[in-house]
Amino acid sequence: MQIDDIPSSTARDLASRIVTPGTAITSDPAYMRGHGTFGENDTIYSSVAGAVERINKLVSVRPLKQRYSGEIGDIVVGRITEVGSKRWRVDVNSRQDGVLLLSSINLPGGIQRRKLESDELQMRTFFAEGDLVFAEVQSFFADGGLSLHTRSIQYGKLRNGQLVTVFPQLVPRSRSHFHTLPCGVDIVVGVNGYIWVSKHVPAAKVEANSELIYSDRNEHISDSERETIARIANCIHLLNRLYVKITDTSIIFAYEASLPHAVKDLLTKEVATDLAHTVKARLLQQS
Amino acid sequence: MSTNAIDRRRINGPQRSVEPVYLKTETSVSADSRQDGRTRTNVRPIFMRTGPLSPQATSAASPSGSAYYEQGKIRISCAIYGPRQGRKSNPRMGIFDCDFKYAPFSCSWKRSHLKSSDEKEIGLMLEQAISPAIRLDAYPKASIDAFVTVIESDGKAATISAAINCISAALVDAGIEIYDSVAACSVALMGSEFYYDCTQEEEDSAQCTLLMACMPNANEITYLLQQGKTLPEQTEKAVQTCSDLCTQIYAVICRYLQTSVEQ
Amino acid sequence: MASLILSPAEQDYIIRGVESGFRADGRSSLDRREVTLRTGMISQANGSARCRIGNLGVGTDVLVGIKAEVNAWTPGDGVPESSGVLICNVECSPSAAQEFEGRGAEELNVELTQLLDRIFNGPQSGIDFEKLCIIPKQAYWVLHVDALVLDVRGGITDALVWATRAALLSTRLPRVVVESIPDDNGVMQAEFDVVDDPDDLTELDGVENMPIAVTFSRIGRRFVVDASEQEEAVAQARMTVAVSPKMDICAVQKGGVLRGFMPTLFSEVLQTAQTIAREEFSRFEKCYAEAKSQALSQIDEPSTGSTFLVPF
Repeated sequence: MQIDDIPSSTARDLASRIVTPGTAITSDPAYMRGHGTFGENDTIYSSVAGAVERINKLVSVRPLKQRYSGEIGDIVVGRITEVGSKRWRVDVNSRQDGVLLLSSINLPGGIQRRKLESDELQMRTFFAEGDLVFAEVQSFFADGGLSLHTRSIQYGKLRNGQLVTVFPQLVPRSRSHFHTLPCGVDIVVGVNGYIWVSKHVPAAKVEANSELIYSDRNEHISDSERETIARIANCIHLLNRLYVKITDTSIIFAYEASLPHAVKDLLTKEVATDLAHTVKARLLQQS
Repeated sequence: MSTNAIDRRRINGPQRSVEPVYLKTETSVSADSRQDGRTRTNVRPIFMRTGPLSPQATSAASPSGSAYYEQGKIRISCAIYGPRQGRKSNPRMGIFDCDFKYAPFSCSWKRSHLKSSDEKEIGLMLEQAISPAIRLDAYPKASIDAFVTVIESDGKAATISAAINCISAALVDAGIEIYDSVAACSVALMGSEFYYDCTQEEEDSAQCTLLMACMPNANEITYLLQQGKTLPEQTEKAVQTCSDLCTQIYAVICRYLQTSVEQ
Repeated sequence: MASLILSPAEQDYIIRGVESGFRADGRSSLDRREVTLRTGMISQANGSARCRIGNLGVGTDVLVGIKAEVNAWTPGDGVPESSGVLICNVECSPSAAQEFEGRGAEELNVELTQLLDRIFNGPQSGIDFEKLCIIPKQAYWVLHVDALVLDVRGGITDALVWATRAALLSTRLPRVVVESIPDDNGVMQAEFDVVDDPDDLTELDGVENMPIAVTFSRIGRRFVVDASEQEEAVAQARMTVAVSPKMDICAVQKGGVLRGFMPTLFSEVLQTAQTIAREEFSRFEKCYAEAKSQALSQIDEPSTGSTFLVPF
């Protein structure tokens, strides 16, 4: 289907057009095809419904909603679904499950400890089904599956908090995905849409106790810490519902706007609508 | 009533057949003399035997444990296979699966040989009643399967509680680790009094039946089902009554298991 | 009920939260989520209702449709001579959860169908089944209650009962005219005619006596009401109590395979059920009134999920 015929495309014509699948974008041979497009003859067509993006000579179409597809270096939060031979299968909310190899994790007792045979037989002492891991995408397998690693002290098993699921496209890639918010709560914002909100544990404490990195036991969480975690989690739900980009800034704005209300009221229609206006206004103001 | 669809695997009866409707005879239920001569608070006499289906349990194909249970006219047999490799395996704990079936001749009306949703639900109920008692975390990735067949039934709630008692005995026979035996009983509200362990006729004329399963030593109610309307105080009283009854039935089961082990 | 696997750390977080009275989303043990109710959206059905329990427009979503049919009475059917019948059926749609596709939801469907049947089919529901009989020993109304579970975020039972209650309240049956007509031998036979007038409809009798259900989930040593998905994954046992407006207990059913209930906890549950039921009845009245006014306001908007969303 061809809506507009584009004899010669200018940069402005291409950018931020909303197209539907099958729309011809350009016939200019100078442009290369990116994600969300396919080519026939010399014309580039869109294969999804979304906005056209142009980066130099690369034309791609970004759909509103799509499953998370990983890139090398992405920080993700995943859930272990299967324990296999020398590897774990991890659900990262993507087209395929990610893989965490035994050789890609930190072994307790010192980072430089060598892998033993007993480690292969005792894989569940590290990660078992259902555990949440904070990992980085190391590489791709030939079939497109992600290979993860947790070879840094801040990565590993997540505890002392709760998980919030958001749309992956609301999480922009940034330099850091682990934040300690001023209210005293740690958040891990996975690019795949899984966000972990937990009690703040000082980094020094984590490093001192390398034996406990695979422990399942939570620290003691006081009532006020619990309340703050719940408040942040509800704020993230709200941001997700408003379809606002989720960064530490937007979370802090939402948190501050939410303070006058009780935590459980944050998800009710009236309060949520109120907060929506406040947060949106502040974000617009900032940009 | 049974409508027989043409089933090529079986010899078919007529297309439609109906249970005969009996003339209603006058049945008066008073606290002192019920239909079968019991008083209001009498439970039907219990008989049980473990291991009838698996005297030596030598081959892997025979059940690990089995039990036969009678309570008045109710006759139930249960076979337990396992712990064995489960189809749906959970790496953290074992799974208890229960298959419940009425024999077609067991009730006062003819039942279909196909499993009805009633039987599927009772299977679920039995799982919910018995699973808390089994040390499932001692059997990861394994599945314990119980197959219960009702040979004769007399009162739905009473049959279900008898099934629970039967499975408890079979579990002990199979040597599966359990926290405590589960004992179950049922009561029905007629007028303003609770009648213990009711027959089918009594249940049909009752305004409410309550079925309870519990672990007396662990002091935990593993299953509770009330059908019909009562006042909240009546529910409380019924639960209390059932609790005492279950303790009595539990004593009977334990006494039997003890003597059978001694022999 | 839909299985969600949580890590031991997450489970412990939820359990400790419940034990200190502060749940993961800030609610206390007895707080329930928002409920949205809509009725009359299925024009082909005699009654229909849609109930969503959850916050921010996302939650457990149940759609109930009621169709009435006339059945000829036959002896041995199991139907009393002068009474109508209610037949329930619950289906969990694969759109609610991936594991519901194919035969995955079979067990859950059976459990929920029997539960609904236990609460609504019979004298305990308060519905006057005798009025549903058209001609004794000849014809009676059959009400098919079909529930479709569209989304699951914890608390299916409560949503089912809310939706069924609303659907039955909004059910309108065509009026039936019964006449005695002499047959060929001069014997008076009763015959009935269904009036084909879309404005001449009758309500069901006794529907204001219908019970409402409250489900308690045991987490650790405490219980919570209206469990979220995560809480249900951690809950060791469930107890559903159906309470009528007159505070009678209409049904009690335990669910869950991991643990049981201590007798003291059960007594507490029974007491709390009555308190909560009172609140729920008034909440239901409000929601139902809102649903009725929405239905009457004749907006030409299709009743899709978007009507539940507040324009954010």
